[in-house]
Amino acid sequence: MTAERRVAVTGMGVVSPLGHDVETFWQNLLAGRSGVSFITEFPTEKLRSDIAASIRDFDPLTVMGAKEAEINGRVTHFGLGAAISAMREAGLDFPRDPETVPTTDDPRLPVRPDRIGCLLSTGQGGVDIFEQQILKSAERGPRAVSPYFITGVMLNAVSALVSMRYGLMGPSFNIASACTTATHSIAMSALLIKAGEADVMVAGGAEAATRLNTVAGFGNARALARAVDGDPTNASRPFDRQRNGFVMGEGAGALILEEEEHAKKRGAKILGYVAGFGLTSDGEHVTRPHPEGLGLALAMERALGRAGIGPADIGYINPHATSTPQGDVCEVAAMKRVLGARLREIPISATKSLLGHLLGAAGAVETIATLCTLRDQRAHPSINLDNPDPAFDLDFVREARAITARYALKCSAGFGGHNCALVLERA
Amino acid sequence: MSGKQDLLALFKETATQVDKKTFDNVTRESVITELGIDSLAMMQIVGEMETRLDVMIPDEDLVEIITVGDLCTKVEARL
Repeated sequence: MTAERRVAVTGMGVVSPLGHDVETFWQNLLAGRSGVSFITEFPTEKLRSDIAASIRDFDPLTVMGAKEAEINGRVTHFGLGAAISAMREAGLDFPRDPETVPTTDDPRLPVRPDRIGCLLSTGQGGVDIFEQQILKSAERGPRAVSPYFITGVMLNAVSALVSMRYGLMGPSFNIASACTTATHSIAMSALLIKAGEADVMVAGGAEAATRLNTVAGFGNARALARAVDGDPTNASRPFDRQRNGFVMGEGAGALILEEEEHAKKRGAKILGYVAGFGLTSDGEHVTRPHPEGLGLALAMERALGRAGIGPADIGYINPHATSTPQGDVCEVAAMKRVLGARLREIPISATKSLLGHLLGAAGAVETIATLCTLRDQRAHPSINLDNPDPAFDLDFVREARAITARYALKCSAGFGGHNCALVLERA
Repeated sequence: MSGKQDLLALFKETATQVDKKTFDNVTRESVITELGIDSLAMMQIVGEMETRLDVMIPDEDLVEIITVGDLCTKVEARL
């Protein structure tokens, strides 16, 4: 009988509105700094929301050549950037060597190429390339459409580029489940490792969808928040009585998931563990979660079950908490259903209050924040909680504080009713 | 009262166009959710009416809308 394979985390990387390396990102979260500002990239007078969490200082030429940067969408710039940082931290940022045979062990390589794959997913893909090429076709006819159109917009472009960069021959593809994209990618990467399909996976999410028409689309569904008193940083208000929608954001988060023995054998530093995961659906409505949070509750139960722990063992929760009137209610209902009386004792901080909603990347950057929380035994604040909704009688972290937690719960829920919960464990 | 009748007619026309169903028997007292119009379809109908009448209905106004009459009253207030 084969022993259960444990999934460790050996690297993390981010490209985000709060920094392009994990330490800067984490310190900004602890300091309660917001990454939200007024949109400057396109005119916003006719939009229902004029704010977003945007990245303005990331140069794609630091991770790819000029041509590559042009034919691939902004989402791939972020994704590759985060992946390279994570691989570097894990000691896996090895150059491709044409001499190596990828399917046999080679002492010169930290990992056999056919044992490492990539699930660095995006929910919307290269929307900038899509818009650009549609306009080109409208102006100059279909002959002007780029031969790189399809490879530029396909959602799997991010995973493809990462696997091409490192010559990865393990499983690589894309999972798209809207706001749950990255969390699902982490869970499925863990499952692939446990199933023996890979020993290492580059897992996480990327998104760069803050375009005029995407903001218009979300805005016309009345899902977006506006600045309060002219201050963009107070628009994202999870759990607050005045919450009225989410703030769009862009960026990427990558984690190197690695089978524990494989990591120990090569002397890799273990940063934490993915101890459990649960994947469920609501089967209810395309944007509204199940009113009692049944689907998300089931995902949490399954995650706890896989981790072999109970509510008493959870020391911190990083919820999905998008700041929508309905979403926050359903999530709390789900947490109460699973954690019962224990819930009120668990510190909770909503990363989206600071970072906005990174859509397909949210689950990854928030999991990274959760792992930093476990590593440092310190929780970042949930800001804009001036008047917590009285229905939520919970321990919200209002100022960064020390916590005692061996296990943490990370939850995500996406348009379409897709839920995923992770149990993360400190190293 | 013809202004109000016009708005009711506009609602029926827009709803028919958006939801691909007929709404002939709709009155101002009709409860919107009972007409099988969900939240996203509602946004679509409101958006269409806003464009046609060149008005903006803010998010806060939409929270209290239960009947078709409530919607017509909110739209009227912005004309």
